[in-house]
Amino acid sequence: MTDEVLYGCKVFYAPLSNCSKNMKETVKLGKYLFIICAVAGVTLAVTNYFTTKKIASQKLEVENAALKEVLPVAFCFEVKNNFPKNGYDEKNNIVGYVLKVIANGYSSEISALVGLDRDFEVTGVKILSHNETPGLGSKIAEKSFLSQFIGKFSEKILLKKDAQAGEIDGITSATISSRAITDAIRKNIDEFKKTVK
Amino acid sequence: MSSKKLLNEFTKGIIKENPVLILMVGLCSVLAVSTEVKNAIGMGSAMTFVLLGSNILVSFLRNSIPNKVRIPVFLIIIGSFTTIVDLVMNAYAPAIHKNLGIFIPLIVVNCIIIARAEAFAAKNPVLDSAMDALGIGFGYALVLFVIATIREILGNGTFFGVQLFTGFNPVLIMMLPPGAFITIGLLMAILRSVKK
Repeated sequence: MTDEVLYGCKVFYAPLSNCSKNMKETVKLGKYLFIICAVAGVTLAVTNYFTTKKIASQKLEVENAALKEVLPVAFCFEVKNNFPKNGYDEKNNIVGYVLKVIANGYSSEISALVGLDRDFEVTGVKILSHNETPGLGSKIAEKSFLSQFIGKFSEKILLKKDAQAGEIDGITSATISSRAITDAIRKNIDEFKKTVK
Repeated sequence: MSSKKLLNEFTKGIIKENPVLILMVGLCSVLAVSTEVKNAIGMGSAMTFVLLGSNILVSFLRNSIPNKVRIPVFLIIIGSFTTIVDLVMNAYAPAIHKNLGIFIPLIVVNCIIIARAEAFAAKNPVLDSAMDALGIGFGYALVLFVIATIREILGNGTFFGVQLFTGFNPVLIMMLPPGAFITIGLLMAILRSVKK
């Protein structure tokens, strides 16, 4: 009986002392990790502090350059987060619009900016991002393809092989990509026309 | 003697223990970003920087890091350096940053870096670890550069974005993932036969 009690006590106490030992180690490890994380956090905060401004201005610059590229006549652009954006001349008159077009390409979503003047004639197209097959579909981002759109009205923005009125030459062996972006541009212009009128 | 050892730590990463062609680690980023020489250089330097930073710090702390939490500690160190590179590249080299995309943040899980921290920096003095990092980083960048050169010239007819030939019909497959596998396989074969 006494043995049992004693034995019981031993069993009862042994894990407790182990437990506090484990606890101590856990706290020690926790402390170490905490210090490492704190130092890392501070370092990153400092880096972030010095780079955010630069990153933001860089982004704005890239965006403005893109807008300017598709609508060169504009002096400045409407400041807002969504599209379409109006382009203004020095006297604050609207000289054109910039639309954002999303097309479902062959292997990715193609996003592009399209510049229009007040008569809805295309002034420029720029591909913002795509993930089409390199060397084939990726040629939609090249000047030789995109310059075809300049000076055209939406009725003529069709692939030559798709319609008689079409005046856009598709890219050899990348018909799906070329058609996707061409059709998306035409549809977006047509829709935009309705909202402006 | 010791300077010779240091030099050895550096040079072993280039051929004898080349991370890509011999150790065959970190292949994912090599295959993905080696389509253009410009990207290869960007990725190579980002990788070398993270490797150098993490190796030095891990080696510096090697006696104080509790064994049980060493992997989390390595990851925090590597993650911090990667984030620094990511932010700085985004701010000062946005074009390359955009091209490399997800592969910069993914340096965190690149096995080259964690392997060097665990296998080398955790056991060796700071200077040796730094040389090891530079050697491995340079070896990685060199392979990336060679693969990218081959792929860009054959697949796009350009080098560093400059058109090399006129009327050249690019070998499209070199730009696609199979081109990366073919090139890397051939390089491995060449290196192995030379080593023998």
